[in-house]
Amino acid sequence: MALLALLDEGPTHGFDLKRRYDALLGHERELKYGQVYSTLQRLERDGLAAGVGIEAGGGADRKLYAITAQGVTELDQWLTTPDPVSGRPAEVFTRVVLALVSGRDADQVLEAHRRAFLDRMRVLTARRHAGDVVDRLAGDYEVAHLDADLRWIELASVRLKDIAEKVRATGSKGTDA
Amino acid sequence: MSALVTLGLRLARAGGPLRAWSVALGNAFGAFLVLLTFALPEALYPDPARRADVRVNLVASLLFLVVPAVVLLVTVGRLSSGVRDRRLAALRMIGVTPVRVRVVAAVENGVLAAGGAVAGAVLFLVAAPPVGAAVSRGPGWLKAPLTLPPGTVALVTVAIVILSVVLGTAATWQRELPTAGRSESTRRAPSPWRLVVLAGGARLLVVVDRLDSTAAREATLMLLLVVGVLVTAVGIAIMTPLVTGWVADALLARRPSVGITLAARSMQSDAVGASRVVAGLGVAVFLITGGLGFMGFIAHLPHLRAADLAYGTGPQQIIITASSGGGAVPAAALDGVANLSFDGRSSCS
Amino acid sequence: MSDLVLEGRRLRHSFGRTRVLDDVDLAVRAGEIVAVMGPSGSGKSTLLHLLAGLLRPDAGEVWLAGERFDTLSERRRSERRLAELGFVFQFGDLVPELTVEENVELPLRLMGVHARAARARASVMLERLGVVEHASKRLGEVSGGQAQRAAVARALVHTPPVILADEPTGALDTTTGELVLEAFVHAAREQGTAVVLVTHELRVASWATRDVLLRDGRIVGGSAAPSSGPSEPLAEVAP
Repeated sequence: MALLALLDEGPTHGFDLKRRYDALLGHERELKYGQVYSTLQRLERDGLAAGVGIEAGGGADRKLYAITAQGVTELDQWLTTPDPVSGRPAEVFTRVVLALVSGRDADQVLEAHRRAFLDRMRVLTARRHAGDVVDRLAGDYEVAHLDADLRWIELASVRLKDIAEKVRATGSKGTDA
Repeated sequence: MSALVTLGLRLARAGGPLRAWSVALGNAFGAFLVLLTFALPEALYPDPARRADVRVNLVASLLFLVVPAVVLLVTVGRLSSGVRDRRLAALRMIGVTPVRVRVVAAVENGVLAAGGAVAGAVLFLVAAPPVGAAVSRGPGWLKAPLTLPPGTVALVTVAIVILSVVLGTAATWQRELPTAGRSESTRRAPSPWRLVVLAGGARLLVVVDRLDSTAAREATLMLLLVVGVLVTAVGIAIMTPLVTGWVADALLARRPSVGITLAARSMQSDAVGASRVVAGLGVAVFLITGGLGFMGFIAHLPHLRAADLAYGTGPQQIIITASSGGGAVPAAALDGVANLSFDGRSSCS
Repeated sequence: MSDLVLEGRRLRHSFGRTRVLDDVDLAVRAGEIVAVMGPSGSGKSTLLHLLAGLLRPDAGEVWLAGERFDTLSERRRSERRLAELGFVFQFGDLVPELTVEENVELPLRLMGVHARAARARASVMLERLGVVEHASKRLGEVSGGQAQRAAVARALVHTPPVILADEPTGALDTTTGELVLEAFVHAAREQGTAVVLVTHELRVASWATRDVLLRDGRIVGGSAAPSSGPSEPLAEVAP
């Protein structure tokens, strides 16, 4: 889909597409040529893009691709429809829940994570002027998520404390079950 | 220094036209009344000797003019004191020394008070003579023009401005700094020490009452009277918040309805502000009671009482003195005359 | 460590029966930004008030620029507070009757700076905080966030060596909050201002060079004294 969006700007060939993708969204993960070409072929097969000519250039001739009208429609729809929101818990969830349920000191768990998150946040904040706008947005994204994770950890420790209290209370009443 | 003055002026203007006008008008009216008080004695009794005779009565009567003026000045000087005190506290927080804060408060109050007092003085100088002339032509109470030497006018005006400034800077004399924790609804409880003022004033008046009013002590008598009345009036004005607080406490003790709870809590949290509204009422009651008392006193003076009986339907005492020589009429015979009763006393020489 | 601009030693304070701070030490060097964190009621605001000389500690000492601060007379403390401290409080404490720019230039005017120069400097600060278009409005006419930024501008206007801020971004969203934090970083970098800020937000604390965690009146985490090496660079300031 990202490639389609890049095609939307104008007819391009695969080499150029890869370059632009890497510049914008690549960051630590660059696209492989093979991936680019296979995606372009798939788009062509689905009718979202079409080959429009050959550009002569240094080295081998490169096939130019352009977006089709159907492609534009697909693209618009994809850009404006959010993913079904799921927010599936990540690894931190598992770790924290296990730590708390096992009876470990909630404050310690909280503190360790806070320290780690704060250090990571500090790195991101220090980097805020390095890189371009997209880098900055990526940094903001991560900071916001770290913030949210920490808030959840605080909440979890409170909740689990409550549950632990209840469990202890029923336990001390004697085993009836 | 100029920054402080500028700040004071700016704050005086910034408090809003309503407050500025209230302070100015209050001071104008107060100044006018006080000047009138000073001018009336000479206008009523131009002859110094005669004036000295009636001095005590004169002073007592003029107090009825002065007391409202003083209360007005006190009340107006403390208008919106809550907001202003908080604002001055904000200045203290950013590091303005106590002395400088006082300067700002003095300028802020002084400017408005001076404007008002001067206006009142000018009004007096301009309006009093013609009014006096009109009164002497008409009911003829005034025997001399109603004026004051300009020096006295200036002095009184300055005194009033100083009083206003002192009142306005009252809050800046507290030592402790309010920390940011103080919110709008912290209770400002009036201290019970306020009662001392009223007690002091009342005591002075009692002393005056008990004093033997021989001419030799006239100066003392007058001084005590004036001071006593003024202190009592001020005592009433500043005691009202205390009573307001008690009333609020009493209302709340009975778990009242929502409306009353709101009103009572509001009274509690700012008893001083709430009472300012009724302080004037308190003083008015004071004056009216004083006036009634005075009239009652007059009505019981022996010659006035007798005159009252003579005009009215009360029994009159007629003393018949007969010169010697002439037929003797048994005094008891008078008994037969209608509406006369003989009480059996006769002194014959 | 001779370049300590602000120091609190063994500070202890109670309000009535409640012990709010218990044996707290804090040392701040020039150019540092220290974040004081902790749950509500942990004594963060009280610590700030003590450091600012607004309260006298029940026990302990406060040192400002190498001189004993808490034992000074009211007058002397006020003078130093005006010249050497800037602070931002949660409840603004700006003068409500004055306009925004009059409030911001106030410390300068009180220090004897000429009206025009003071107004110019105030405008610069307001510009940096993004509220210059509200400069002539009275406080009642601006939003809470704008007022808070004006308060920050006022704290910075006379470039004091120390800034104390209590939740300076509390009323602000992320972008406007960043204007405030950038201003602090600028001051720390360019003028060596030491900033102590109280916050409960991790994101805000990530702008600090050091953090301290308070709980129930005691320091339970972070570092109370600057590290002996040079303070970590906060990376580039916005060009």
